[in-house]
Amino acid sequence: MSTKAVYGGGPRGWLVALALLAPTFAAAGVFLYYPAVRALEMGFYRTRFFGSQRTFVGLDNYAQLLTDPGFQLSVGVTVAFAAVVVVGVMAISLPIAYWIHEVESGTTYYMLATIWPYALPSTVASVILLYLLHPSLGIGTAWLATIGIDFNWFRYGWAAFTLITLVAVWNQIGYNVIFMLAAIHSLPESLTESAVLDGVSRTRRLLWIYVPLISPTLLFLLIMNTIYAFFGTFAIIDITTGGRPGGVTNIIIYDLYRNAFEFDNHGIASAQSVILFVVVGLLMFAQLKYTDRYTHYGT
Amino acid sequence: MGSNQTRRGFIGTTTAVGVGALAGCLGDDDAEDDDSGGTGNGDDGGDDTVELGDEDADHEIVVWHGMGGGLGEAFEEIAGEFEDENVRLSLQYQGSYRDVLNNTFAAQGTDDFPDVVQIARYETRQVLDSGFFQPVENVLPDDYPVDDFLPALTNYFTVDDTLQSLPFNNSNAIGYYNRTMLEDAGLDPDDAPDTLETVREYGAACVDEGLCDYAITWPNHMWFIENWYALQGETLFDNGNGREDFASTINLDQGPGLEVHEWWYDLNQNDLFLDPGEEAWGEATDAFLNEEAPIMINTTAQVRGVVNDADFEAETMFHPTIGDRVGTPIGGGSFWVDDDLDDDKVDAVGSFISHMTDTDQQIFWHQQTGYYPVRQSGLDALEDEGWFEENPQFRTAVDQLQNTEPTAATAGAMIGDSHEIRSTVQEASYDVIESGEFDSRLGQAREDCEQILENYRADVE
Repeated sequence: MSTKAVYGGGPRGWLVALALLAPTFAAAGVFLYYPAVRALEMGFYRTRFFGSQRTFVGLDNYAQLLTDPGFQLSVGVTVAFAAVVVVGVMAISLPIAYWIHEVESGTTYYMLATIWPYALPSTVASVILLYLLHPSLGIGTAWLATIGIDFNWFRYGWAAFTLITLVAVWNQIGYNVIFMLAAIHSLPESLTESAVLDGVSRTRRLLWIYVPLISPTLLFLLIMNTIYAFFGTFAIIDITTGGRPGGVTNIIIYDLYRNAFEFDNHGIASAQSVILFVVVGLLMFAQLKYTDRYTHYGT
Repeated sequence: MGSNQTRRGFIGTTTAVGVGALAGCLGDDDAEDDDSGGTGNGDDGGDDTVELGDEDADHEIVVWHGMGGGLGEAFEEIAGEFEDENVRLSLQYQGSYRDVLNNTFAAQGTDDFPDVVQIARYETRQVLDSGFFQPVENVLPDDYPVDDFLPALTNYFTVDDTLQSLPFNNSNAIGYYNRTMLEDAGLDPDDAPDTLETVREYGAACVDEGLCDYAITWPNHMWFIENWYALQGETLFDNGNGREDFASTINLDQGPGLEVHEWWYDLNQNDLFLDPGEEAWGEATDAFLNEEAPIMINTTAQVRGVVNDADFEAETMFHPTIGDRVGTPIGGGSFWVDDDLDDDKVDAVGSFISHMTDTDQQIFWHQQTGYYPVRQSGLDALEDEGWFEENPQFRTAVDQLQNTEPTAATAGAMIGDSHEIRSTVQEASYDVIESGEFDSRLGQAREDCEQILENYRADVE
């Protein structure tokens, strides 16, 4: 039976196609597009009492945000945080995945040890690290103090930023390792054999042979990690620093939450979400566009 | 988003499930409660909803509150004494006062909206303007002795000549000190330090003796700034602290605000100030109990916990002041009643909140927590039975209350968007005690607050 026969031609075929697509459209419409349109609309209002009262303010919310030094800092911090997290996660995960691939025995245990942090919800990971690295209660902080590092992230911006980056990276390594490992495993054994016969060193084998070949997976991870850094790290901030000190950990997604649910202004939060959407959208576009040239999809 | 389940609530739950085993050593969930805070060793018990009474009762009253840990247990105990076979109670712990308000606003217009909510006094303006509540006068029994309530409280919660909400748990901020440690440092413990200057002196003496690491601790909360203003007889906000008309500015970068931040900066730069965290009532108490600092400023609601858990002689004293002592504003919360309350539930709700504020219950509540009784008859009874002589730590808040001159400054601020104002001020305090940029940073916070207040007025008026 040909494809044409299944979908048919003419109006009936269209109806079948529509019926099959309807659930997807409905779900996307209700859960993605409708809220997106509402957010866009709400960005033009200042709201109170959980949105039960609102005042039209036009582009005021955007003007207020763009001229607010706090929000400017928030954008800068968000981008810096995302860059460090994405680079950090991938730079650490790649060698780990490779080592697990190369190791002769105990592979399963290494894999488990690497992947379990991912099984931990980021809230739990945050709580654990919060108490390990608490400025006055943490055992980790006490150790650091013995070598002269005052890791007081209540006080020092660098410490707070390091803390949230640490939690975010640690929590995301497992996810990356799974994909990288699967990608490396799927490469033909003959490739490795010929490389070994040619005397290619381990490091070169990883960087010059495997990385180009698993580049589609790396691109996928780049995008997933970016989304994670922008959106998935809310809980970490909420549990640990709360955006402090001085706003250096106040990433947009957290600031937005605070505006909406702590400060009871859904309008400004909606405007922030629109800005966030634009930023991430542009970033995705750039990533896809730029990395496409270097991504090898096979022939 | 579920009506009574904010994101934070969800995270809390997930976390609680995930690290249940850790919970025992992590202290209370309610560490962030305004004016309450756990004492650090209470057990949450895990269940945030407590159902009391007969399942077949005619009415169910849903009560949302912010009392966790030991305060929550006392709260449930008092509510448990309410005997009405027609009424079943559902007491639902929402988290901090901030959470209570956020959840309440989120539940508006749904079936989950509670009948009675315990709300922090800071949020009075917003709650009033939301229109989600009716004056508590409407549901109180006709013979209810409102006259017996302490005037400072009824004054605060009376707006437009109407008693809007019923004071239930009320406090003020007091000083705590470690008598044993002061003695060990060779200081005179009977001469409790009651000025910023002497607090620093006493605290630093203990640090110099190697008895502790810090001189003093208190949670970073705007309430304390407000206290320092009230003690000097100055209002923190204009327009009579926001009571005569909408407040339009905060006097943060001058007068007491400036002086306190200069003192605070000096403490911080000399590593004498222990920062327990923002609005971290419980953590401050933990640090004091662990003898990390000999002096603490905190709500009187911590007295019971401190007295029970201190391994040293813990005493209380007046809130340290810059110089004057005009008075201290009230803290704590009150009960608000749903505007859409079913007619047939009005009497039940009225008698429930009457019960919670009845003299005997308020005496018990005071003794279990440290909140002062909201009624004069409660104070008198405690006085007569010699309670305060035997338990002098409980007396400080009452003395402060009775020595307070009623002025706009000591009445306490009533402002809109109090969460954002508070966060703005508290963040500025943190920045200033690090940087020492008093004028520019406090000035910026003032401007930010002015914008927030202006927007609030524009939207609500």
